[in-house]
Amino acid sequence: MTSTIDPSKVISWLRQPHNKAFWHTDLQVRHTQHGVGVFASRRIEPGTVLLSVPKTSILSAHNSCIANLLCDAQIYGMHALVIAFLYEKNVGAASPWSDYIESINFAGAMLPPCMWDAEAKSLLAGTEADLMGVLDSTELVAHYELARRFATQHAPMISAPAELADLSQFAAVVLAVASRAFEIDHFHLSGLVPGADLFNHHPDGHGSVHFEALAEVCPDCGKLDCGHGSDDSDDQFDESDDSEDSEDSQATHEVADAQEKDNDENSELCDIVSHTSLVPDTEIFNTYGPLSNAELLARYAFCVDDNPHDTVCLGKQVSAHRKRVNPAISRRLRWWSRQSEQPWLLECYVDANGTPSPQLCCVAKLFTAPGKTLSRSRLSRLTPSARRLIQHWCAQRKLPDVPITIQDATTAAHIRCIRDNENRILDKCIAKLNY
Amino acid sequence: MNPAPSEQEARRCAAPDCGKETNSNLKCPICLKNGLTMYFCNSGCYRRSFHIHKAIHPKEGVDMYDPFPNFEYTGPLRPAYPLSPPRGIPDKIQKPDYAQNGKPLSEIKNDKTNQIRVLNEDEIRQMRIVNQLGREVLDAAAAHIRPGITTDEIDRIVHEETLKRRAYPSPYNYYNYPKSVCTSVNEVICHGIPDKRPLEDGDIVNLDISIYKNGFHADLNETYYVGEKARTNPELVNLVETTRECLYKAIALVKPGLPFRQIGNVIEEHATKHGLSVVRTYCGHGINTLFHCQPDVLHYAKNKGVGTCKKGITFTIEPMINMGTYRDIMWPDNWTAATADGKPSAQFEHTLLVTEDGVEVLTARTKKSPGGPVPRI
Repeated sequence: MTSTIDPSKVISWLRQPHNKAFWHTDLQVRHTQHGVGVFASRRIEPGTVLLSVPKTSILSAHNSCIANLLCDAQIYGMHALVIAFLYEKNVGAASPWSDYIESINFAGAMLPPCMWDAEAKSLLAGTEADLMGVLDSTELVAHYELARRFATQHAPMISAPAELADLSQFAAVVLAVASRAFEIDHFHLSGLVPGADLFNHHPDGHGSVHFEALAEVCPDCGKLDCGHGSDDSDDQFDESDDSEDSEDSQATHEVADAQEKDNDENSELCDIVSHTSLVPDTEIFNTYGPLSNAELLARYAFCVDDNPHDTVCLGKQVSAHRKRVNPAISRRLRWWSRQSEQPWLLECYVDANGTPSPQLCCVAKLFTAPGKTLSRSRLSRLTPSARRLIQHWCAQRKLPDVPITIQDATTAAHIRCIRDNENRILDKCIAKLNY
Repeated sequence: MNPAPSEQEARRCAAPDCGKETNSNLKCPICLKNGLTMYFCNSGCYRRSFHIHKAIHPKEGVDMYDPFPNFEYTGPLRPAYPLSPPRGIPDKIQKPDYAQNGKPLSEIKNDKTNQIRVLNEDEIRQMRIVNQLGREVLDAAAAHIRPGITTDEIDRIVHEETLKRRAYPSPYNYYNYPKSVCTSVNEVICHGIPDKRPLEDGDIVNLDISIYKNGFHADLNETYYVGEKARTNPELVNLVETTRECLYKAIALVKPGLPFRQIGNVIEEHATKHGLSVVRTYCGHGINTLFHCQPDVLHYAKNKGVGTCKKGITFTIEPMINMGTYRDIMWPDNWTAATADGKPSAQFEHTLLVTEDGVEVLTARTKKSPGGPVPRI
């Protein structure tokens, strides 16, 4: 991640014996143009474990010193992880993760796009980021209020983290935590794995390593083999259920036993494993999953040119067009709405190659096909008029050329990247349909 | 010898992992030869539990024997079998769920990591009562410590004193533990099983008492000097007194807001200062209607213990401190933990309640409590 400043602190955390972690000796952390990245110092074979951290050593809500307080307050998931992180940060050297926490730079930290000023936000109006709600701060503010209520409630016994006095400081921490977090398992949910977050995201999503942790553990205790029944939703132990329970727990044990044979060694670890061979002096990237620029911006505060997972939605243009058509076509559209299981307007998009989605093609055909009836089998074949209609929508959707005069260079670059890439996709589509 | 369970009470299977009522007439022939009637449901129960049951069988020609002659003990201490037969619990005593077959199902099913139970006023009142009774039982047993008394006799005293207070001795059949108290002598760190070995002048012995009454458990232990020789051994005194101080230093920290993981820092610091080491394998625990539950209270420094003290939480601190290595080994009885180098180990334990602004020691000593600190030499 770009805001890690002192990787040597993370490495020293990994080397402290009581953290019981493993860091492959052929790895080097170097400074790159984007901050720091991990490089192989010699060839590494596929299937090699590069980093291993026991689940008991990760920074998760359940491992934190306020685990029971979060449980009592019924705060879980990412909400709990951020609050746990703040409290661990607040106790400084007394935290088992202090070296790791100190390695993260909050001074010039990025803010999530929902915290940008009105001018910056207005420059993303109408983009995919806007449509996806990336600019909406409602959720962040709710999280902030939740954290503040928790802090107030516990203030008499534990001093509140300073970040809870200021929304933008809190937002920076949320972004720092969310961008580093991994999905651990059914017990820990999200967690921070020191070292694993040093591996950067590959621009095309083609990383050479991936994160591995066995997810199917008991949600009550994190173990594979335990007595917590899967159907045991109520907290009270009921003695009258005795015979039933023992049967159940026996069944659970058998399943767990079978799993344990396979996963005995790995169930308690979080690993970074290579899945291709790693070439010396080349940066090692992780696979974060197929994320579009809007998703990257929301979760990691960055975006990339020519992101293969980008799409541009034309739902708004389709919807506007629908209001102006004659009753016969209106009827077709109503029929189409009834037929569709998914929100079909969202499915009307152009993909990164400029190819219109099947749903978009069908809808364009519905608008343009002559006659009273329409054969379903012919729906996806584009006629010239349907092609022209999609081109028209693309032209409507295109973002106008506006001067970007934001002071913050990074934010300006992100905005330019989002706008240019969307327009490029739309241009590709228009060109593609010009045959 | 104890009489077999009286005829009025139901006949129960003597297999500790069964314990069901039975009409079976199957008796252990070896016990019968020794004048003891032990019934088993069937040969399955008998065979399955024989490895536990046989501990009470005497060996012909000897008064006592080492059941594991091939085991490489780390120190001079040896178990002295046979164990005395199970002492039995009258039906009128309220029993925890594991009393019959040894499985604490309520613990196994309900103790969820990260949930630390907060007790209400009424539950706290019950905890106060049972823990005071626990203290009385420990004091009654400790008063009998002297060279020559066997740990089995101490077990009898603990058992009787517990029943006298209409309480159940919590260790009894907990995961099939055979006795009502843990007696840990010299190099035994914890979970020593009371047997026929007489205490010797110069020994140290830890009595770990747990009792159960009105649905709640009490848990406390102390290490005592046996005879003048122990009390005048500077190394032993350093070990025992440092351990006692470790517990009190840890207790002094407890108040709402204290992360449980900090408790180990002060214990290890004090132990190290006196040239001693802290056991890492065993830890303190939450205690309430469950004998052992969250939180885990680790006694060593820089641990990753989870959770924070909050008003109404009850838990134990019970540091085990060794004269030599912190490492432990398990005897083949699967209970007794001994030091890996055979050097002595001491332990002290209290059950604590987190209060509004501090801590209440529920198992506090009284003016009449035997034992207590002696000055370092």
